[in-house]
Amino acid sequence: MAQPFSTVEISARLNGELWHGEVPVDEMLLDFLRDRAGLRGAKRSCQLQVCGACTVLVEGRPVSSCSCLAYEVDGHTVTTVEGLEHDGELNDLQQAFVDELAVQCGYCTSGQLLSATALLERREQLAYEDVAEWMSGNLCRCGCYPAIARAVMNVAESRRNNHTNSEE
Amino acid sequence: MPSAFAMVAPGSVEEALADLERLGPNACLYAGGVELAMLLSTGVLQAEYLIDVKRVPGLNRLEWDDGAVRIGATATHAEVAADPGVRERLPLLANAESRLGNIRVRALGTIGGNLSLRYSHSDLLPPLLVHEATVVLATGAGTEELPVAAFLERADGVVPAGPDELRGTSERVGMRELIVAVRVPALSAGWRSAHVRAERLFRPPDLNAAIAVRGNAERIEAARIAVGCSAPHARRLAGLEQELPGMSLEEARRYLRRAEPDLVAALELQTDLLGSVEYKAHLAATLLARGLGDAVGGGT
Repeated sequence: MAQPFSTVEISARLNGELWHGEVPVDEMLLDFLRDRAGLRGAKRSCQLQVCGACTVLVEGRPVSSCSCLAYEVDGHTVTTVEGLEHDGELNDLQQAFVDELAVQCGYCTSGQLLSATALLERREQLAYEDVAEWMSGNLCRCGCYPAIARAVMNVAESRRNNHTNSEE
Repeated sequence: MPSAFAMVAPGSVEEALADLERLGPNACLYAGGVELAMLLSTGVLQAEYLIDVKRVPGLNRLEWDDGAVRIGATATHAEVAADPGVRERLPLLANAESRLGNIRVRALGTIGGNLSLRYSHSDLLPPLLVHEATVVLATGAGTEELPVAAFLERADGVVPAGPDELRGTSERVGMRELIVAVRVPALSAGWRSAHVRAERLFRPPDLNAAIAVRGNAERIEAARIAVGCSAPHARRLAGLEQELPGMSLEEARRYLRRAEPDLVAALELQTDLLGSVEYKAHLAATLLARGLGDAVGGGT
């Protein structure tokens, strides 16, 4: 029979940096990221996996960090909003959010950015309906949905164009 | 701060069963964590031990055998939805899996965890009922295979009443039982299907249904219909399945409009926060008519 354990040593790559240490098995990924790893981009909100404000990527998959045990990320990569910029510069998706004014209060933005990051990794060509379907689990109480969708579609188009140009 | 619970990570189904027996009612199986972690973090549920079956090797495997797929209990919704074989041969299930919850729920949640909840609003139950799927259980006495409908019925007797009810519904089916797989036969040639759901934003569906038909718009030869959400658990509508053969699609639609009052009893509709009995019956008839049209008109 397996022996119970209440803490566990985990190794995870957080935004490219290796983190190794001991965590209680009941610690949620959101608490781990914010309080232990100092990454406060993911936000606490509904705690019901409905709003998406706490979204982070685990091995590229969007996960509600409020309801996922930190124990789960042992041996995996985790991307938070802090991991999107390059050398202090916003990445193209973050810049598109700025350009399209896809932010008002900003509370949901890190989750929106990470869900959109995962979508853009999976699909090259995006219609509004594709974005709406994929992002339907990320709520924006300010109602920035059209601007968010435009930002995501713009990035898809520009990445596609860059890809095409680089092949020519 | 001390951990509120301890984790147990069995290396096999046999070990998990032994842990269940040893740790008794203080333990919950941890199969996906989507609901369980939420219940634990909000304090709705307390458990001394979580038995992590997600790490049991091979329990998430999808295997085809004799026209049916055996989906391991810890396969995530995203994995099932993306599986090429499921998409090609079980499009009804693939469709339901790709619409369940949201992208984050689908990434972590598992088919076994979902089934063990017996959540009446689950998007999976109507398709599984239409496919006449079975639940494969590992028990102390061996392996048992139950039709999904029987599994849901039996659950009513397993889930204890009172404050422990949540414990009973959370990712375990009983003291010494563990869902190890769901076996889903493909529909025979000539059957077409559709998954329909009515939802208000950000919530589980108000009503969902899975419909499979053989025939065409001029004549429905056979139908399988399952509805979720409104009854205590999802169910097949045997009466409707017997009535529809021989009808054209248009006749079936008219029949469904007339049958609205009958759906109240068939689905055990009740007035609650989601709407009145009359509203739900109308919603069910409308959704079924739409689903029939989708299935007959090409479907999936």
